[in-house]
Amino acid sequence: MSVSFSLQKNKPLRDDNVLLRGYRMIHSVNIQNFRCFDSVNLVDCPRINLIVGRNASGKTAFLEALFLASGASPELAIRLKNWRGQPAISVSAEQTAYEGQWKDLFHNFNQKQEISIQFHGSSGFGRSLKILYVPKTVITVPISADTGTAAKGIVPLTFIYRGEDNREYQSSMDVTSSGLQMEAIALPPIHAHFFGSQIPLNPQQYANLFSDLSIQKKQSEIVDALREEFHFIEDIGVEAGDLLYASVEHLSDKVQVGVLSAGIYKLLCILLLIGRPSMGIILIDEIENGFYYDMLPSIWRLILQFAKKYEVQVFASTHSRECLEAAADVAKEQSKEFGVIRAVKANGVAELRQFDGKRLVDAINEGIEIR
Amino acid sequence: MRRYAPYVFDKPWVLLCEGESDKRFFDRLIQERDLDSRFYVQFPDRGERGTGGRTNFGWWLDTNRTVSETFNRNVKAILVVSDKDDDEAKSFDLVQKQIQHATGFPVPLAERTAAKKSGFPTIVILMIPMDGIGNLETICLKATATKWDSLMDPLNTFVAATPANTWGLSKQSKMRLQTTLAATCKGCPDTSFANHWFQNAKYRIPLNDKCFDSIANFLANFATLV
Repeated sequence: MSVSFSLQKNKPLRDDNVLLRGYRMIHSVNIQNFRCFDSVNLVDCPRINLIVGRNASGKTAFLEALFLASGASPELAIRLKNWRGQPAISVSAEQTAYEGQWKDLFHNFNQKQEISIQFHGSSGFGRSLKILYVPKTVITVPISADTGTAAKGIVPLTFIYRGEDNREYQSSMDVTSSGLQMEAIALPPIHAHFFGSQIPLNPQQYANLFSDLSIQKKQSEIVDALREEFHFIEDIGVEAGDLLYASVEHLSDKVQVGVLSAGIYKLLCILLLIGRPSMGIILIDEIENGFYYDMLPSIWRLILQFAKKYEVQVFASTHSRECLEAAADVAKEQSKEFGVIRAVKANGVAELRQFDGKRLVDAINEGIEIR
Repeated sequence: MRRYAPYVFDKPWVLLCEGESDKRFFDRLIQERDLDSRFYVQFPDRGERGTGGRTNFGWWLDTNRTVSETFNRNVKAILVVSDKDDDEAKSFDLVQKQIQHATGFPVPLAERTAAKKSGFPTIVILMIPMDGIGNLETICLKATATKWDSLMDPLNTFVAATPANTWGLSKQSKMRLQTTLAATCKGCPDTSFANHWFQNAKYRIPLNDKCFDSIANFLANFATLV
């Protein structure tokens, strides 16, 4: 399958100043008809949001909702399918088969009702996404389709974004002879990154981020922070073309950071993303994966320190008591920066319940199970 | 931070008491009297807040309702047990105010009556002793007096010669119980009310004593209240 893009020329690119204006923190979220969620609302989301709940309660679905709405292309929905380990997209000229591939995005597979994901932040920032089937005035018929019946155009799944300018940006996943085609839209994406538990880290991407920082002479902030927590690290740099290497005490040669420690590498990647020169959100599924338990307090300290400095918001799911305890240790001093979102299924209905950082600390101190 | 396993509410009823000593007493009473196993006994931990006991009942209810999935899913009724101490009305008022402090919970107007509200567990308050003033130790002291009858006169003499002589009933009950347990527990003379339950039965307060019958009967019939 190939995915081709065409630019909608009637939608001008926005000025970068508009993109960077304001503080892009998500304060409130509303999700409707998406995956397990019929309708859920969140308010007053702080900087660090810990997401807890049983398996299949909606933790990952919540992160996916934010990820989809943060982007500016239906292509993200294809990525979600890949990350979930679902079969690759097959291009079909049949509406039923086409819709069958997207039905699990919709609550109770109800594709007659649109998906709606909205969030609002400080400085008037807002973003909404609607996903629905919208008939096209121009019908694209796949030339390879040979169904023996009269050709009909596929009513495509359409993503309608609305940004700060309150304009609609629309892109649909059209079936063509060469595969799925979707229009690129001029809505600047929010800087959002998804660390899925099944998504491998791309070494080149992070080496490039590090190089960008290095060119601006800002890499030392991250290196120093890591050295502070992990004293055996002497330095970090991009070597061998485009890989991150570390100088480590007692080792004669530099070693690839991922080889040195998967956990330190993951933390470095998270910090590099937070430290990009723009505000945004970081979505991390099962954040504890790859981290030895005694690293967790350091990890939360560093994530909070960088997230505050770069005005980035973190949404991280966890099943780990130790991870929550470590977060609570940090939250004791800065409880307003933390919050917990509990994904719950009550009587078959998925809900998101919130409590603040002070409650997190209380719950850990009291010994209440909150995972 | 606590370093032991966090608790979950896997039973429909919670017996919320003032502290760890009370929890161990009620756990033992329910076990030894073979009472209703639907009770899960818990108390507000002192933790890093520095205070526990009944002045944290409201905080405890509120926190669990806010953060605990198993509390919200499984708990149908809560029996709040507190000492009458030396002023029964004042103690009940304090417990009532604590429940009022917990957002939304139904508040019983009198003890041993059920307060019900949709979406919340039913709340019942039990003030102990059921037949007078004092505290849990006051009741337990009666059982020790039966078991170690010969110690009571020397204990009275001892108390009379100490500053405890001027203390109120509740405080003096604690002191008397502590002294009796220490004086009889050869296995662990520095044992406490909370810890003596782990000693051999010959050192323990006898829970089959009739002084515990009224509490045991109340717990046995709790289902009819809620």
